[in-house]
Amino acid sequence: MIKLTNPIIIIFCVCISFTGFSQDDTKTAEYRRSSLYTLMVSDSTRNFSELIEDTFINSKIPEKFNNHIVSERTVPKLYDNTLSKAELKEAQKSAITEYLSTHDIAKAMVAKWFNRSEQGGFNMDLISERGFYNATDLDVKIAKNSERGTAMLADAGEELIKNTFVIVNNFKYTDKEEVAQKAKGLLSSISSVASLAGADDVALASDAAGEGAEILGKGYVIKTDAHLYRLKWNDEIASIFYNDYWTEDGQIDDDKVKAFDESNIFELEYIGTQMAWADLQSTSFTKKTDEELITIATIKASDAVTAKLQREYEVFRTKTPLLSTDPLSAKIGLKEGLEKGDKYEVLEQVLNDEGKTEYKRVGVIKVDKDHIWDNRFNADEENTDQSLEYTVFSGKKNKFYAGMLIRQIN
Amino acid sequence: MKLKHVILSVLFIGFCTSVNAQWKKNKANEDTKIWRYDLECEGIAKQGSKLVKVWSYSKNPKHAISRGMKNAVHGIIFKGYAGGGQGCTPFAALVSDPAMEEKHKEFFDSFFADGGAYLRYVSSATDGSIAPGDRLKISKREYKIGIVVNVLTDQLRKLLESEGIIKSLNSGF
Amino acid sequence: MKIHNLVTLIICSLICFSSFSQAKKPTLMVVPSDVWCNQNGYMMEFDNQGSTIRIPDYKRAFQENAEVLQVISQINGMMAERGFPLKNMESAIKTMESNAVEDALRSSKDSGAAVDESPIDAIKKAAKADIIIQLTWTVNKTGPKKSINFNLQGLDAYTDKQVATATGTGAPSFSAETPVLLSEAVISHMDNFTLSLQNHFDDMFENGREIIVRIQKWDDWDGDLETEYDGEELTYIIEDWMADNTVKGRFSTTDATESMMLFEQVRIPLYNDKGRAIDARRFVRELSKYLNDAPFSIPNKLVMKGLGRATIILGSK
Repeated sequence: MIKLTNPIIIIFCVCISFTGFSQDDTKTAEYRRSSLYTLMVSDSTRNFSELIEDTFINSKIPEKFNNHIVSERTVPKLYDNTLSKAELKEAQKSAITEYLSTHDIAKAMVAKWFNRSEQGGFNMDLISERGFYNATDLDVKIAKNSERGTAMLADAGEELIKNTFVIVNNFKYTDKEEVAQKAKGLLSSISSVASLAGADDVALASDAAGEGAEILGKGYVIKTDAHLYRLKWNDEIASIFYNDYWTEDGQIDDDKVKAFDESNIFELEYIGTQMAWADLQSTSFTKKTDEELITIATIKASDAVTAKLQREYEVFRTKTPLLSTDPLSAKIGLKEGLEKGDKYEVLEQVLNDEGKTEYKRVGVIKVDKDHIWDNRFNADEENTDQSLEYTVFSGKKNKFYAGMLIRQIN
Repeated sequence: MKLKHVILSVLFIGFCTSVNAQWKKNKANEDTKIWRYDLECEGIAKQGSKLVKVWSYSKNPKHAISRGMKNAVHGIIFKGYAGGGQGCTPFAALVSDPAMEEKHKEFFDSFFADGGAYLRYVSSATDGSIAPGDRLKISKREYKIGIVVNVLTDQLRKLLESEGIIKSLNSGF
Repeated sequence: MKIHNLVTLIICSLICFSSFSQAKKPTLMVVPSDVWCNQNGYMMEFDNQGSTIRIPDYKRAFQENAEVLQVISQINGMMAERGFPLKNMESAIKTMESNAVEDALRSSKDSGAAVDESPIDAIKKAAKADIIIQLTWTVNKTGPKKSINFNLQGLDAYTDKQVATATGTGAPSFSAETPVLLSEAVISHMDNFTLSLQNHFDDMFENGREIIVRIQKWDDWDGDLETEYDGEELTYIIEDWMADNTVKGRFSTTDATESMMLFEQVRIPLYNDKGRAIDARRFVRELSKYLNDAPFSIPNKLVMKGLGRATIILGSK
């Protein structure tokens, strides 16, 4: 007779169930590389403004974006003492929008997409190049099976124009010591750095206590408001562009050059604003200079706000299917800006009762630190030195299937 | 007594896995038997073949992938597809008379058997990877999965012509 | 007589159905359309008795345009794969040239009237093609993007009717070269083209080949089509003959007056009672003989235009 308690049978009978939470998400699963142009509000009245500006201008556009910097990197600061903080913030935003519009930034970005020459001729070189670079491994394979071949990938580059963005950062530098000094004695509670940094003005951070100054020590907080704009590009605009403005070097049509110069159909659409900050502690042990600290904080704040925008706006988020579950792998890598420890949620696409597709999270996986795929080469070129053809993740293997979508969380 | 337990357990597990394997296989075949799938054109393939995305339905997502190839060949023979993006033109099924499937049952049964001759006429265009958005859970227990495959339609048509299932363009002359 | 005809018909159809392999394989040939030749500048001008006429210059097109050669040889390859190698137009042109210039202008023995022959008729005659595949494509350009508008028409050389077709516009591209886009166009349309061709063949096997028959009379003939023979008007006698000799009695009388009759959609069997392939000329010659013999004894002349248009002119040879 077999005892019912036989452990093997018990294990055998255990049912494992997992539940996911639904996300209201009907966006397309397709991920395309975005092209990015970053600017900052220049404020010469503030401390270290030059340093912040230099740091910003010299910092790189993150690897996962196409660099679409056109020319200027700064937008002038709006000064108006008659306005309240909130009003000034709103006015600054309008001033930025106004600046982008009057300086024909949208048109300049279109001109960059189509490689406009000094004579006014366009070509498709950059679009082809980005089309190839955007192509996933899967796209390349399908293209190779088709009659058009890899030309298909270049053609797809045109789709990327829709994903062109402008981010305007409005940095604000705060010396923690100063804040604390000012606040000393006013209140006894200790405030968090977050609220300190989030405050619009130094004077508002009155909840920072006197002891706080000693505990927080020396350091800097860089806060940034980032305004996000998107280049408007649709079939209608594309059609006007190709029919009325398109001309090529070697056979320049002066009327078309003039028509483009005078055109006002190109615009940037305001999408939203996000705020992020970075603080750097400076203690007596730190060997770093103030300049070094501010540089680091500026980069950190800028990165943080970009990350926040990515979380907030679906089009920025990297998405890709799981290639296999053993090992957990996916065909994304340095090209998509992957870093060790990056967290990805594993999603299952589910058809809900209304017949719409939504994503359910079934788990979280992490980028394995030793196995990040370097896919930063053009898809049409042969990559000779290739030991790893995918990035490996760590996580629970048995919960997932190949083909499930993974999406960046942080 | 303890040894007996162990032996019984091992036997039980062995029995279960073998039954399970058999059941799984039958399950997969069941999904294919009713030929439930959708066929889409995925672009203009090289001369003599068709590049299609085949959506298969299955309770087990693994089956849907492995059955996709079989479904794609079946689709080219019996279903065809409407046009679509990327310059796709409509494609009429190689066999226009659906009764032929029943009439030549013996041939098609062996052709579509596991590991059957159909495998010679189809290959995965993506080395088995599934594009984002092509793996969908459509109900509590069912998946819809799309894979992109390349079907050698010219070869397939010649086979069917030589088997007398369809007539060639020059038959009668 | 009637029973004899019926038997002939039955035997005929039996042969049709039982021994497909005996039928003469239709000859197909791809020809660039007039529209294409015009758009690409392959036209030549002729002075025809004072008036200038423009006709396609096929020879120059083949010598100068690599794309037309590519498209035609690709279509040829795909048709050969289906067991239908095409007649090569270039060699048809050479045959035509050797057939002497006198063919361009001919005159009827009796009337002396000039008969115009278009270059395409001349080629059809030289190539003896049953079906002409007329090819047209245009490259649409929007800025840097190109797309191909492609049109294949299978025209029955007998009736000039369109018997097969495939047409459409491909996906635009700025990176693929025109030859690649053309190749895409051919690949994407040939299946549908052969499918409609197959339908045409099926119809032909079942209902016979279609021709057009016209009956006219010479002005100096003293009779006309309303003349009665044994109490029956000549028009009805001819209609009866058509009903007895066409496949399943299929034809339609489009026009009938005292001086002319026009029969369209006349379906003639592919073979005669001896199992020999017959064409429009052979078929109509039987009618010509029937009218020439007693009791009608009407001398007549049979004139062919193209492969599928026959005219019988009553009154003299």
